[in-house]
Amino acid sequence: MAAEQSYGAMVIGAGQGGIPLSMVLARAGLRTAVVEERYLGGSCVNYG
Amino acid sequence: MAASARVAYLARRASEYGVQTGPVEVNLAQVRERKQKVVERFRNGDEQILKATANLDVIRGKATFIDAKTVIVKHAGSDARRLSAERIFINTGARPVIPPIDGLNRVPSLDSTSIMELDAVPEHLVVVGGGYIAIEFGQMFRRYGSQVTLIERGEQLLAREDSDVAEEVYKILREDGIDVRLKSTASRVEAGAQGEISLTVNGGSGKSTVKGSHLLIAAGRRPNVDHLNLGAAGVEMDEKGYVKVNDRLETSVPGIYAIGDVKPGPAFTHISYDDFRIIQINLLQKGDARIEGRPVPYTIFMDPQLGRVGLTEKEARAQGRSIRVAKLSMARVARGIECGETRGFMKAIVDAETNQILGCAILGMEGGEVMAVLQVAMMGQLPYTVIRDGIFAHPTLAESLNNLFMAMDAQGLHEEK
Repeated sequence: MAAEQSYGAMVIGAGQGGIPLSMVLARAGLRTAVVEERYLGGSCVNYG
Repeated sequence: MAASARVAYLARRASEYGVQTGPVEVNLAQVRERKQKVVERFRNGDEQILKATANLDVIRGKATFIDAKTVIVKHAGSDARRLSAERIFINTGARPVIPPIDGLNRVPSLDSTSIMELDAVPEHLVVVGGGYIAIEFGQMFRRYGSQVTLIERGEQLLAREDSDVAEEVYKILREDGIDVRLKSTASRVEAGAQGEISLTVNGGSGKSTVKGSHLLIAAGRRPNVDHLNLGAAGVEMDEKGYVKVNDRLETSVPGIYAIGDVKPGPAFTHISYDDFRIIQINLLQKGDARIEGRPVPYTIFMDPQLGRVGLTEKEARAQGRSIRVAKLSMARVARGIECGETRGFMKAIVDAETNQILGCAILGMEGGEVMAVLQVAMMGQLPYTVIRDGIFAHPTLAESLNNLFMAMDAQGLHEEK
């Protein structure tokens, strides 16, 4: 396994809350990761 | 996809408006293609904006906690990665529940995701469930041309809504030609040689068999927590598996938060977005935003729409409040009559002491938009009289809110408990 990467903030799941949240955290200066298994946008956009 | 269904509905009713059309047929592959373009437009917008943000890494894969600050991310075809963060936000959402129907794992079935990928209109769609997903898709496919049977366990559709609202929804669906069966529980399912579905249903009048070509399961949703290994982080869940949070969306572990459908409570896109606002205010603006007391508006995109916000009549009565109920049939709404859309009604609950609007259910054309007018009144804590006596443009739907509250006053004051 690759070495550990450390972040200020991590969002697990890029849904309609997670996407804007990851952006404002990153813009506020926190090194931020957003982890998404499949599609960006969450249930409403992708799954109905 | 509901937009396509509405066009088919209006095309079939064209002669009521003096417009001549030929036979109406829906090409589901084209409907799907249109939907796909809309979805991709939203999805690509997200992708580009995330990539363009400095300081932000988008990492593909499935995250599993190993402790309260660390996850392992696995993605097919690449090495697992170990990531740690001071603050972690769980936004993994929810997915359809698989109800305990004997044989369900041995027959093909659809859920709210896969039904949107069908290429041809099903001959006979059997829907298990009576919530908004069941109603929206049931009506949509009826309009595409499917025969539709809807099987609901409860005594009414839309369990949380007032019974008069649920009954009107029932009436509308029946009028559209949907076979709605209440107090009916699907217990067993089999597939025939040609793939046809045969569902055993226990209802008030005993056992019966419902046959169809396709089966849609719309019996609720459950949180996506299985792969997270929340135990390793110490994050507590409730008995249904939702991530427990307090008023500030903090989980049982400091530094870990949950937003969106993975936490208990109303599962709506706009609530997920508001969760983001709460975190932003509390973490970045040093505020103290809480989820307690926020309005939870929603619109069920059946046709006509059901727009809802605030208390239902039964909730208000259960709270022991002294209330008045305003109700106006859409058949008495000028705009509805002009547009040939007279199904449904407007209903509002008013506090008899403060005159403030406590909630509303607008079942009618553009019900979601009309509801928003009353929601604004609620947000501004306006007494209903301001809406009753306010000038709205003629002949808009909003104008009929005058009539809604005038009708309530005309009935005289009902002090009810």
